[in-house]
Amino acid sequence: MIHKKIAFIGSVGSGKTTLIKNLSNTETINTDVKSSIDIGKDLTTVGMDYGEIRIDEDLKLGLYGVPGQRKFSFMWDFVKQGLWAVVILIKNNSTESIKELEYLLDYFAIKQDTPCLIGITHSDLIKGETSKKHIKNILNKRNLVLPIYSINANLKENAELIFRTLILLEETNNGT
Amino acid sequence: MEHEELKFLIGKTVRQAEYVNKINLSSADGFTYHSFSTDGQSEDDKLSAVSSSLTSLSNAATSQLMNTELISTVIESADGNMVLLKTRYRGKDAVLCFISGPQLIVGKARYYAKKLAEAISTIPADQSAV
Repeated sequence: MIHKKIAFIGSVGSGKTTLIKNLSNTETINTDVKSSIDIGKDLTTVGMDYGEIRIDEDLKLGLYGVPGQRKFSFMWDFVKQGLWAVVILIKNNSTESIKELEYLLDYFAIKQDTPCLIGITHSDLIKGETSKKHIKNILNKRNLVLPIYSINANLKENAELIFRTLILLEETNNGT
Repeated sequence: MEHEELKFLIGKTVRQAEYVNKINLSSADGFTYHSFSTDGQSEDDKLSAVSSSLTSLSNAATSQLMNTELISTVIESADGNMVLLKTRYRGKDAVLCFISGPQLIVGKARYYAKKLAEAISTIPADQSAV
């Protein structure tokens, strides 16, 4: 059995836990606790989210969601080992979330041949200019061309789009 | 005075237990309420974050995989033991981290940590602090 790891990273409240819940074929493991500071929601991940997608008898995808706060970066180090793909979630129109992108690209050493995509979340809730332009600028500076989608973490179809894109990216990188 | 009762309880435990290296109380999401250290080294925020993550993972393992309730998380090392316990502090979920030297056997470390966590949970909520 081959086990491939996908990491879901991004700032607090970007939708990592929800997305993993919607992608997983199994009941997810989550480590949410009540937040003691105002982060725009009641619960926050402090350990790790874990879900699975079983492709066939030989291939299983492990979905790993890490806490968004940098103080939990030791959990990022754990998830970082042996990654197959990375999904970066950006909260639409959140300066903090866009700023975090640069840090995460460095921390997870994202290169052009890394199966990686960026999902902009909360586009349906937060009106105003989309973050896409800012994200593209950041990627351009690094000579990175990554797929950028506006996604709703609550919709299963969006979660499946992410998964299919990652497979496609890997096939493209392998020239298959 | 902020955290005075907590400081008193921690001091009492340190005197009773001996060989205590560190005691840290943090919120469930990893913010430090108070930290005591005998070696003067201060990595409180890091310890609070690690305590929060480890406890949440232990809690997930027990509740979501074993269908039972977490009592404590014990980490044994060559230089001592770490005991992590869920507790309540002034009406809010909290995590107690108790680190002792190798002279204190793990059973005793767990006993003192549990006793302290229980005492901390009785401190009444105070709107002016925390």
